[in-house]
Amino acid sequence: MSFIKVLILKFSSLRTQTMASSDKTINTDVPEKDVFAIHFLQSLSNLTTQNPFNSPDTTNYRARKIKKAAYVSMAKAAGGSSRLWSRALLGRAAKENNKIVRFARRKRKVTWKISSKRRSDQRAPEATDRLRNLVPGGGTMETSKLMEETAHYIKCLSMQVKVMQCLVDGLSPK
Amino acid sequence: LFDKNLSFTKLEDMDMSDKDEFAAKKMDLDWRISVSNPIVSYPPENPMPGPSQMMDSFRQNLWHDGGGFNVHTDRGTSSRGNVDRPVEMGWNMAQFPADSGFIERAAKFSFFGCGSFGEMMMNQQSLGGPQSTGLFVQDTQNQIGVATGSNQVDGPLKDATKVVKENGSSNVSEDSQSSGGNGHDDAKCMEISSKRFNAKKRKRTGKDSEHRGQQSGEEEEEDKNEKDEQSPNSNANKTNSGKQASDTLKDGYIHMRARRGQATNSHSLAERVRREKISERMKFLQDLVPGCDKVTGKAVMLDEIINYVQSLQCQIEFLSMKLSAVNPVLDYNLESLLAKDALQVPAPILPQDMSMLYPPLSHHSQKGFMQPNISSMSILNGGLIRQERHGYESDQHNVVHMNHETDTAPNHEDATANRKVEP
Repeated sequence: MSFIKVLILKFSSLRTQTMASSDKTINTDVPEKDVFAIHFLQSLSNLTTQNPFNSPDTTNYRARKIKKAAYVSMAKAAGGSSRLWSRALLGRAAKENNKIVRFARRKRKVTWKISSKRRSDQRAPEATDRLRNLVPGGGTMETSKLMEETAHYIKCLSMQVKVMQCLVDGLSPK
Repeated sequence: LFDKNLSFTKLEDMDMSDKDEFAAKKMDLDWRISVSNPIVSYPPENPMPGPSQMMDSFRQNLWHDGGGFNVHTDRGTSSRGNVDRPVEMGWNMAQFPADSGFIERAAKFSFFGCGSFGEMMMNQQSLGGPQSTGLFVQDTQNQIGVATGSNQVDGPLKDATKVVKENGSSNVSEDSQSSGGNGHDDAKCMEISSKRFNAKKRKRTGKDSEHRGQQSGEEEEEDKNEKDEQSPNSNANKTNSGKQASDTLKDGYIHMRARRGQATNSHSLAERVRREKISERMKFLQDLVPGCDKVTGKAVMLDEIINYVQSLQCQIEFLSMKLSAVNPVLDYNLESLLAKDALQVPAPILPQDMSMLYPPLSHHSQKGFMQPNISSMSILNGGLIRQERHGYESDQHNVVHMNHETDTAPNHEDATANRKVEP
């Protein structure tokens, strides 16, 4: 039981290091770590309730499940459908589970990006293309939007990493 | 005068290879130059009456071409008088073709009013100074936000600036190469080069610095508004060096810039805005990614960002594997931690723990509703919480938050807790 307290302690220490965006025009505020922690723990508990036996097929399988849960919980904690990448992540996860998730979507106008892609398909794989592959939902974003999403995504990723690190530290046997 | 010297050097440098072609083009250029003169001679400084006449007709043409130019003329700063000199230089310029690319651009001049002038200016600049080209390139590499928001280079623009870099010592040949390239690239390069050009000129102008400052501010605004006008001008000069150009040249270029580029108005304007947005965001990302202060340049920065994102994702994967190893332990805790039912502890059990918990809690009654949550937590954990840590008090806040899943939850818990707490 003590490790729960440890967990709580870690979360409290995390709390003091909240990240805040101070950019005026670009809003990349990320919720505090508690939100991430709650969401992640919830998803983990859902996972464990799904598999009452504490040892699924392989640890690899469980690791993958936990990873998926981590991403989904991160997307939820980061603001559900208010971010393109979170929406894409959740949509992707829902598709994997054969669930249809509907978000209130803004109508996507055909951006310059798409037309320019057609025009210069033979472009060498640019760094922006690599970034698009990394950031969920970055395929059809404009570059400036991609940058914004990347910034927010980076913040959320680091927050999630911290949460998971604390969890692991708290739960690892002394 | 500096301008005179510049024109002199131009004459030295020029290749007379395509003079005939050029002469044909020159006619177009000449009258354009003459048109622009009157604007320039606001403080009449024009030493050469010939070009001034040309400038007059040119100016009329310019006005006819677009309204943007009028904005320039209305300002009437003394620096405008310097336009005469660039006009002269343009005049001189007309006599020698820089390269085949220049001929192309000269061909374009016939279609546009002021762009030709600017291009000529730019070409002069490129022909004039290898060293300054290098310096200019340096500036383009470094971020100077005087006129252009974006010093980062997009794909095509990157190529152009690379060409500029290679141009360190040779102007004409490089010009031809670069000019052979994408016209769009030229445009962008020209924009940036002209911006640098203008910026340097502003700094270097000794006289009427105030006027310059005003004009530079205005120019910057115009740059944003009329960036398109620059793009045709940019065709001529990627290797333009601001150092050598006189301020008068800059002013003349500005005028030209305002006029030229009517055709690609929305495109280049949007391009510029877009690039500036991207660079702004890149700067923001630079602060976010650790250890990227020294890195400059879009490509390297992007690589860093990609590496960082990849490393974060790998970390998550690694941690999830670790978590799966400790998962059996986790299950029990999670259930106890997150079970909502636990918050509604039956009354008989609660008071005992509450009595034990109350003294430490009362010290730090940060929030009223925290106590019941902590009590529930303690119950869940067998009352071990209070014994555990010195930092327990600080945990209350977190515990409460961890138990709160919705905004309505605290209220609910508060009510239930109050009912329970007060015997």
